[in-house]
Amino acid sequence: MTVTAPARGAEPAVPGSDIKLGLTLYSLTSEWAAGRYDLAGLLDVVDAAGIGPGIEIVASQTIRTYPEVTDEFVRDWREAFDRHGFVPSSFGCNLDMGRRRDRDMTPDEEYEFTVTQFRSAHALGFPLVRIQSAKPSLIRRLLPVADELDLTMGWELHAPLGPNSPRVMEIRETYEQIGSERLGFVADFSSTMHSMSPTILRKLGKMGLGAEELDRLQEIWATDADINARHGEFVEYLHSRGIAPESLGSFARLAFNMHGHVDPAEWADIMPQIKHVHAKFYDIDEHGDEPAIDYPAIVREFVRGGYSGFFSSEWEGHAFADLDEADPVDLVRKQHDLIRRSITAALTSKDS
Amino acid sequence: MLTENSLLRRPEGLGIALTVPWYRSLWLSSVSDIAVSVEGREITKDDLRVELGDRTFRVDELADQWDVLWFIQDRLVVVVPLDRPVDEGEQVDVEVTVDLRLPYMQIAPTKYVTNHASNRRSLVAHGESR
Repeated sequence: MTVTAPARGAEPAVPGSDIKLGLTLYSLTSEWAAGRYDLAGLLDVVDAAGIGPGIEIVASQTIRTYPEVTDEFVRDWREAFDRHGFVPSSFGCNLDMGRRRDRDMTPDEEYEFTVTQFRSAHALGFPLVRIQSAKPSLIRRLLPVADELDLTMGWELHAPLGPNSPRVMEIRETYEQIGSERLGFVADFSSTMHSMSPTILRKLGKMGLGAEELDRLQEIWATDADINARHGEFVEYLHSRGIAPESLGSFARLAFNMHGHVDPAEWADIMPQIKHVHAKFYDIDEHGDEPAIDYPAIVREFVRGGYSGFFSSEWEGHAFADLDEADPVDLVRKQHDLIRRSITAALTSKDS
Repeated sequence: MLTENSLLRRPEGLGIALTVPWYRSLWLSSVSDIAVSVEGREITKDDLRVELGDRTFRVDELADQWDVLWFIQDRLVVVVPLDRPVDEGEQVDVEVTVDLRLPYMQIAPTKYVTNHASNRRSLVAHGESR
């Protein structure tokens, strides 16, 4: 039997807006994967750094018995959350439809695999589940379970897509047809970057790309063609320069997949449906800014739109950096400062 | 995938402890292939054994293990037979390649995004041979 978590709240980051802070433990992927901490130790580090109170997980990363949770895990989790005053923000589900090699999951299996994770999320006290499939038949079937467990379902809107991309428009139509408050989006700021992050450019430089190739990559990135077309153009260009695309591993494609350049103003088009935010970032520069993501401009949209919920800090620099090349805890702390400063600026300009 | 503690002593030859070359735990069925070279010499795939906890598989058996989770904090140990076991403190050049098929990133029916990870390092053997 699972017991509903006591209702807990997090204070707004800055009075006057209802944006709350926290992080996804995914920000500490490298340290976690290296076995530097167990879960209790990881939560201690987050508390000591003051980068809660909202805690998000990728279930397939955090839970050894994924997609299920054991009673023991739930008990330890709750004890730790009570001790630290943390608030569960978002439970990242995955839909492992290609788990078997001989065939994909059947619709029944997709439903059951997802429901198992919904029940785990509920047992851990999460109010929201990040979902990866917005297939209308699956969504409709999951709704009664979300009702029973009092969960909101947020489809993750991530680069290269934006709020008005054709695929997202289809999901918005599905949501409109179903008309449930339990359906919405997890907005990931990777969609709205103004340039490629210096972090991935540095990595590609280390892997052998010269200044000219990196310039060309950024030019292609900035065009409006779809991801396959842009990736294809870059691969062709690499060939023309005598560079084997394979020498860059998966990074040549990730560059397009992980970074989108949609206008931050588009978030306003779906603001009432944004239930949670992945405050994506790769670095914080010496001025306290994110070099490729315009936090003040994005935050302004969320303050003006009256967003109420978490900004869950998601440092993804670990995809391009080795363990100990950067300190994710310190970076999240600096990014929280940037978010607070951006909220304050937005509130000031709103009043004037 | 390889850390400075990856090279293990084994009576068969040596063991190589691998970290998951992805950000989340994966079902063992997600491992499409493993290739190992020792001192630049490629080891015949059929001779490799893959251990997770107390379970042992051949590389071509991994595809069927859709209900065995390679938890991100656990190490997959590839056991490589050699003419003689490596000694404590011995330095060995190893190269490991792991191909993944990511089960939640579908492109088309039964077709998924793949990831190719390759790592070569000169490592020092340690630990009790078992």
